Amino acid sequence: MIRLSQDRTKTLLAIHGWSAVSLGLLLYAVILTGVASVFEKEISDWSSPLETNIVDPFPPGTDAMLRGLAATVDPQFHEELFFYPRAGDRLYAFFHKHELDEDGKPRERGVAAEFDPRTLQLLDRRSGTDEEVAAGERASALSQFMVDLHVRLHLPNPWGLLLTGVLGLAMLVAAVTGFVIHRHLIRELFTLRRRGDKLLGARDVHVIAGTWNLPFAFILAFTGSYFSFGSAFGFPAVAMVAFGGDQDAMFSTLVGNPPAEDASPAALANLDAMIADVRARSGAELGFVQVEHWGRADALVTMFMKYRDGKLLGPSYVYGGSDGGFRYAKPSLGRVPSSGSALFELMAPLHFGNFAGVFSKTVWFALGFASAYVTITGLLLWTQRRQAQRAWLHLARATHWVGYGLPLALTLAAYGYFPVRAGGGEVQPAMMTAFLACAALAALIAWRTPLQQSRRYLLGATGLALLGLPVLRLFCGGISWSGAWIQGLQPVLALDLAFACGGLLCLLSLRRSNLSRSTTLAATPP
Amino acid sequence: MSNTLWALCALALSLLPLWRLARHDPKRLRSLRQPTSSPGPDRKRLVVLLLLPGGVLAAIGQWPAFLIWLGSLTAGGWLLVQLLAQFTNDNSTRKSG
Repeated sequence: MIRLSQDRTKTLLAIHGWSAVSLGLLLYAVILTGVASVFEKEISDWSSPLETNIVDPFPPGTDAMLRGLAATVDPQFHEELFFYPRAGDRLYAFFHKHELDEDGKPRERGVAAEFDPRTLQLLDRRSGTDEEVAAGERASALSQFMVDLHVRLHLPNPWGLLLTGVLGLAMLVAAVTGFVIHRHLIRELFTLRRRGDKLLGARDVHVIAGTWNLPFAFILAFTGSYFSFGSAFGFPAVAMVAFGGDQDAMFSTLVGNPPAEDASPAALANLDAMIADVRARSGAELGFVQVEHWGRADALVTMFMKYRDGKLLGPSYVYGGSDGGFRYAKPSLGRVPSSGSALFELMAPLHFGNFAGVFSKTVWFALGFASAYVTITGLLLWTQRRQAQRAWLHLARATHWVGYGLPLALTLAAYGYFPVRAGGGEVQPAMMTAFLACAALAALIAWRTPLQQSRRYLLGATGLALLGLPVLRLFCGGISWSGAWIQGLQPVLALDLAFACGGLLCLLSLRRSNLSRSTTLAATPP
Repeated sequence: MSNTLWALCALALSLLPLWRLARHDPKRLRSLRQPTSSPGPDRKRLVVLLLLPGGVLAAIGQWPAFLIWLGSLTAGGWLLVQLLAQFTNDNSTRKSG
């Protein structure tokens, strides 16, 4: 137990409360969208599956397919290519060059294409800067909407990343101070009083969830801040100090693949052979391929593998582009394994929880859900303690608005996506319009109705919206359940079932709270 | 053995001591005005049994399984506390009704 003086406890309680109150609602939004983003790949597979399950997203013939694309792309974009499977395991390829935007920030410009790995046919082709290409995205747009909200709250870079980085630090502060002030933390690990004093019950609900979730609150907050600050501030700062602001030069040096310049033309060796070799050599599944200097003598092909069973770290494999020969295996940073590179590589599995398939993702989903629960119950506890002061009523309303309105708005973004996609329209504005319209309506409900009632309306609407999602998908031309079963499209069936169960749980919890309310009323003497 | 199998075995071994710790937790029982069993189970031994499978996973370098075990245990512990509280609440509501 940590012993503190009364004054110190008061100070820490103030830091804990105010750090959460000032940023808590935004933090809740980031955590909740993070919870959904754990299943980013599954959501995109659910929203845009191909007709059959894809056994190999890098099938034989990938080489010819990419050569065909390269022949139609301006050679200036041959500077770099990456390709990897996306929604429904469509193979996504992006030929691009690096340039600076009007503000001097690095960006990519080129041609992106999506292929069906079964037929090797081109499905979609877009060109422009990386942001323009992403804006025209259709198949992965729904999951990308959640991810963008989680990563940068849909704010322009670097402001969105800086804000989410600060939110991660606020979560760290709240976790540390919460641990220190709740001195009976370990002793009260199993104590949750549901009857009697309502305030005591609310405090228990918050503290219990926070205590059990503490180790992962640290991990998720730290790694989240690292990702936000790393790309918004850390990498540009290092490039500024040591590389005269040249981020490309910095990455080349850090990654340890500085190209020995040789711009003489040379045909790229067979990619299919390199893919077969890396599979045999590594014993792991291929995840992502990068080709530097396509069509030049100094071309390098780097193969990034998925996690091997029992491992959180593993090398990537580098091949000579012109001869197709294996050159070396390397960690993410540098050419030889190091503690720094290992720490750098650990950040991704610890934050994304994607190192052991659906099982680890499900655990990370539960832990993220617990973090969101801690945040919102903390805010409710804060406003409940101050309910006699009118000034805090607005925070109580805002907490109900975001707490119960955000899940509804996120669900309704899908209601913007499916019909517009089926009609061939622009999906990004449709999703944003549905999201914002729902958020505005939720605000109206939160500020115009009593708090308990607004909770019932918003939670009930979320339950119904979630229940309707599988029906909406089917009505908008999605594959039937029998078709998905026959074709082995598990994400479609699993997510339809998960949304239906989520909707039922919302409605059941509503019914339960109504019952307990009527029991309390019945027990109250007239 | 795969990550999943290692994690599931470790979790199964940890859930029993977790259940006994939760059931016989003196603070929880006092808050429910229920008698604490005397002498109660040896809590230190239960804590060791609870954490031992994770220690084994770490010792043999099964880090993915260790993370899954730790995450499942904390999420499961939270769920267990919620269910116990709900169960107790339902029971006392039924009795008072």
